[in-house]
Amino acid sequence: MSRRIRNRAGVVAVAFAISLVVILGFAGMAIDIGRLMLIKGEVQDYCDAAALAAAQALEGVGFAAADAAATAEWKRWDMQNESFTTKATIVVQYSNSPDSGWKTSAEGPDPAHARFARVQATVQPAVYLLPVITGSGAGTVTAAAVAGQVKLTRMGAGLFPFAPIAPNSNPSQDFGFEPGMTYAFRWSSKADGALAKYIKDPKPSTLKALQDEFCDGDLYYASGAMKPLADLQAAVNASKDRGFYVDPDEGGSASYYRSLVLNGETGNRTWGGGDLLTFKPSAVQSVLDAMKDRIQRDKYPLAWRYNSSGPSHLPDPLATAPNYYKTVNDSSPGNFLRVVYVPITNRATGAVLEFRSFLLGPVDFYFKSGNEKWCAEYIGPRRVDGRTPVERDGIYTIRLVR
Amino acid sequence: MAVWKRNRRGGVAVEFAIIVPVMAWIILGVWHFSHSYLAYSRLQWAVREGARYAALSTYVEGSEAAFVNAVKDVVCCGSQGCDCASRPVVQGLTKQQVDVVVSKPGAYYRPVSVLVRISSFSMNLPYSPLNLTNKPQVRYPFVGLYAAFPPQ
Repeated sequence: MSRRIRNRAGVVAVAFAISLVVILGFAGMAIDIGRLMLIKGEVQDYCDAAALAAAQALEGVGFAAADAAATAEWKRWDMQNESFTTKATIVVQYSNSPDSGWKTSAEGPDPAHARFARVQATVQPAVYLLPVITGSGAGTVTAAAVAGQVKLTRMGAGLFPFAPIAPNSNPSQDFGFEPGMTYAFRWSSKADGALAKYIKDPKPSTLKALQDEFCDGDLYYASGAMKPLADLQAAVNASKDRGFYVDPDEGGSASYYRSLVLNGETGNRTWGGGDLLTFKPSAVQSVLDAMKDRIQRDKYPLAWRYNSSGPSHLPDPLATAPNYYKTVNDSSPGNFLRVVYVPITNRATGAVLEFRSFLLGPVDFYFKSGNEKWCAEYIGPRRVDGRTPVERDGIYTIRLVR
Repeated sequence: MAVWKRNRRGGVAVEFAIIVPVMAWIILGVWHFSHSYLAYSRLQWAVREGARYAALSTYVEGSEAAFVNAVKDVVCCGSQGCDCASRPVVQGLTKQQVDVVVSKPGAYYRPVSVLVRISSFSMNLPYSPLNLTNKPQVRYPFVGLYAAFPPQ
């Protein structure tokens, strides 16, 4: 015993050899865990991008496009060496709530309401030193993301500087707007005169003059029946020059409105429920010209009307070449510049209720003079990327929500 | 032989001499891997932030260079207009090494997606330099606004 205590040669080496195993084990574990953390980041990136793409592909009609979008090659993992499409387990689910009710497309979620997409991805990267502890040669890395179409309660960027007069204040009736009908963004300067003449003496010639000065939806229901004109007269008298609303931050110069018409609101101000809009009556030739510029920059400047299912009693100037706006954009999505987003206001108070979209007509739909009527077709709820939202009750954007 | 056996002075020094290179190897290894992981994860974070920024911002037709430049700023130093030359997210990263590819079918189409990646980056490490080509990279669908005219 005493001899063993005395002879200490090699003790440090033995101790080191033992501790080396432990040190290498921990270092290796750190390396493996570090790699798994990197891969976790990559899988999360994939899920985020895939969920956004899936949510963007939802248009309320089915899930094939969204499934395809989510499983497209958005990213690779393991420092770009592995593919998600071949070496990962991907689950894409849909729901009308961001928190529960998830169903894969095979399980039949409700296409009319499922506006959220959840993408879960699991990969099993090989690990080298961790198996000493875990006993398994592969780690498991999982991530998930939820993206969806989110209704905008306030809008700023992209907003068009008009607020057409809503026939009523009921959101469930689209505020009285009917899809396919056109409504005035700005009244003709002769609107009140033509209306007064027709009310005084309704005959074919005054009716013709009335139709010349108003947009079809201002005068008629989609059914073809004429609207009560007293109502219209009250609206016209209350706001003879209904047109641009004023951004108090920016004033109301013509050049400012020109820029709003070209690109929409670009400042930081947003409008939302209850904000009061004030309107600026003005003669606006240069702004009309800007609007025509915008129309011409649309990928499809000549397509007529939004789709073929609009009211049929209306004259269709391009009926012989029915290049409906939706049809051409469905086959090859353009830039949707003719789709504009406007606040809908309470008719009596001017308070912002919600937001809806209109389709600007082809250039020939507008007159040369800015004093004539400016009409646009009501197309209702929309997404800010120009597409149809799943829920048809407002303007939606696409965001990651979880 | 007997003298050698008896005289143990220097034994510790010998063991120390054997252990030091091994320890150094391990420590440098830890340094090597931790630095490369740190650099890669920072770059991954940076390209992700850049891609998110790009996916949500407004794309102005004809002003792609400005759009790309803003995204490169976000990747390289965290926000639009920041000073990448003096404060890059990873030492040695320059704006020229950031690659931003906007995919759209042609002029006057909305962008479909934005790809952000580090086109080439290298970093000296104890065992071998870290060389990254087109990685990390992130592609996001474009969900922002489209404008056809430069801001006036």
